[in-house]
Amino acid sequence: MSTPVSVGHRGGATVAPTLPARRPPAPGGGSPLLELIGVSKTYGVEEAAVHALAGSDLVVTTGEYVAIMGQSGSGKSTLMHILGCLDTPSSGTYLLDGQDVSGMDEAALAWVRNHSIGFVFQQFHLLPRLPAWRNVELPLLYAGRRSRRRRQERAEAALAAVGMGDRLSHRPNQLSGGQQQRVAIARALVTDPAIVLADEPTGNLASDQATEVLAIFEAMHAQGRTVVVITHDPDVAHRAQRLVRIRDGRVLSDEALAR
Amino acid sequence: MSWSQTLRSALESISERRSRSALTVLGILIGIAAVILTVGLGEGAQAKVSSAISSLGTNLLIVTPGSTTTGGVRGGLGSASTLTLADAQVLGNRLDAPSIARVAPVVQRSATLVAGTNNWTAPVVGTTPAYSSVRDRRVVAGQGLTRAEVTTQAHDAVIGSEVAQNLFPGVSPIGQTMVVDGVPFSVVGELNQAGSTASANQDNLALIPISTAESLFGAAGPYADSLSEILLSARSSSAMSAAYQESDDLLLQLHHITNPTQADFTITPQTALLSTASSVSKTLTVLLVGIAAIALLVGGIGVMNIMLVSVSERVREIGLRKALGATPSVVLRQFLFEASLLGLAGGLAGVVLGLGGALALPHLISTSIAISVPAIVGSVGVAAGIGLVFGVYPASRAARLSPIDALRSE
Repeated sequence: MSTPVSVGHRGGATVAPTLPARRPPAPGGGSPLLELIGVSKTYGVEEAAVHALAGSDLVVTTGEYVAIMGQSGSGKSTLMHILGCLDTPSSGTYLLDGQDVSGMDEAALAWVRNHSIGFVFQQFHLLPRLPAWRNVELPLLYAGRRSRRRRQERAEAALAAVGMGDRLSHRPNQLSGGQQQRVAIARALVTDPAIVLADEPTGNLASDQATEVLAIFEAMHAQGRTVVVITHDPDVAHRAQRLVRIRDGRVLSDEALAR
Repeated sequence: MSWSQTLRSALESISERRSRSALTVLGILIGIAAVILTVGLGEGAQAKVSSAISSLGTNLLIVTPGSTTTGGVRGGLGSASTLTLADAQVLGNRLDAPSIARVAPVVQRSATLVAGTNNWTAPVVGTTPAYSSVRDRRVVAGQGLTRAEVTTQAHDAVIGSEVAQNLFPGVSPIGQTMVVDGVPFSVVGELNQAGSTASANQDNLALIPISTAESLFGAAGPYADSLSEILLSARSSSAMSAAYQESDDLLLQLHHITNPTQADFTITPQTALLSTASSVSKTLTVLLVGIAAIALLVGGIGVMNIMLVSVSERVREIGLRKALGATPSVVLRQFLFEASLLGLAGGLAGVVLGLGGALALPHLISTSIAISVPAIVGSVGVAAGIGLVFGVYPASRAARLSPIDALRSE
């Protein structure tokens, strides 16, 4: 990976959190959208057990732009999986939009992922054989949208919204990394989810492309979308409105950021 | 995800792996074509044997000299001729054997027939006028044997079509003369064509009055008046077993045999021939279909194999689809669809190949292949079913994949 990784990002704790953000994070202000209460996740059993998350509490309210930062092994990926309903906690409660999703079965989780969450991955995860618009269409297929014409219209609108309106029929291998990630963002947005979860969205991008992608995230946020970005890159993290640091499976710090 | 979207997605995925899919389809194709051809061959053989045997005559019982015992010890008796004209006369008595309609005693020997410059070897059958009705034969030209000819030892003959073609090519045989073992006969009639069974060509024979045959073949000694066989016809097919019983009882009595296991004759009902022959061809069909089924099984394992490869190749895709909202059942359905489509494609292609083979093969080798619609419809269904069944394991593996593990894999 050719990602420009900043070193010494643990020193980021010294950033002054005092200045008001453009859109102040308001604990108690907006309605809580994501609520983790004493969530832990353990892999393996007994001596071999790994506590990826050890009783974390976190509340994200509607409209927030939150960065979750931590080193590899800090538990941030596990946190992202649980927030994204890709995995369920071993103990504790996760409320998504007031609904307890911690005990749901696979099919119910799939429904929640489809309707409430838009994913953006480091590796884009586009299907290589499908043109851009059909990649973006996928969530609508799983949502059971019957009309092919309507699906295509919505996919094209989503692509236009991320500036890819002129690349509808390009396949992923005909697109640059930044363009591919924009297609992936369009795919995340096409179902109009309550939250967009991004896992190292710029990790595979050159810096100019990363800037474009982050600009889109800011635009989404400006439109009132809740955005959670998981990263180990302080430059990315500091574009957010709020920064949560994870270490050893616990929330280390939680601060509002100045822009 | 609707059925049509699932179908479309499965078709896309198959066409992405064109050459591998084609090879998998080939495995099924060969199995299905083998089933169609073997079932067709079996049915064709069975139909051929059945029609040949029923053409031997209706409600026919054949009495032959020799023992029913097929073991080594009593086999030697088969060479002895123990049936006589007297036996035939008793069997023809309505009071003694009410279930027997007609009796045709037969003295048969192979002889060289000569007409002009043509000569031909054929079985010469000395018999009575009852022969044609017992054997269900008709005289298509001229006339059949008459009682008067038997009485007067007339040198008249009724010949089969093959004899007629070989001795009298291009002319009507009626009224012509042919020489049998140096004795001239005049041809008075010609029999209809009856084809051939596995054991005998029924068109290659000449019928002459039995009295003439006895003097012609005229062997001296203890078997001078012995018969080659006695043909009986039962009054109806339901009277077959009664006719069998009556003839068995009478012959035992006539031959002074008290122990039925010591009988010096054998009575074979035509239905026994039929059922023996059809059971033989059924066994053959079962065997062939068994082999074809193994071919199909191997094809099915091919489907499972490619589907497992496909699942492990597409772990990331499956993970992504799940992250985007595909439920386990949607994933399961998509892979099952793919597997059944492979099976179905193989089935349809196999039917095409099988039908082509069924139409072409009879021209290449002398065989008849029945095109069996149930076998065709069934095998297409079986092919899709095989895809489905062998797709279950790979599909459930795909459905069980955890989205995070799937997304994480590189």
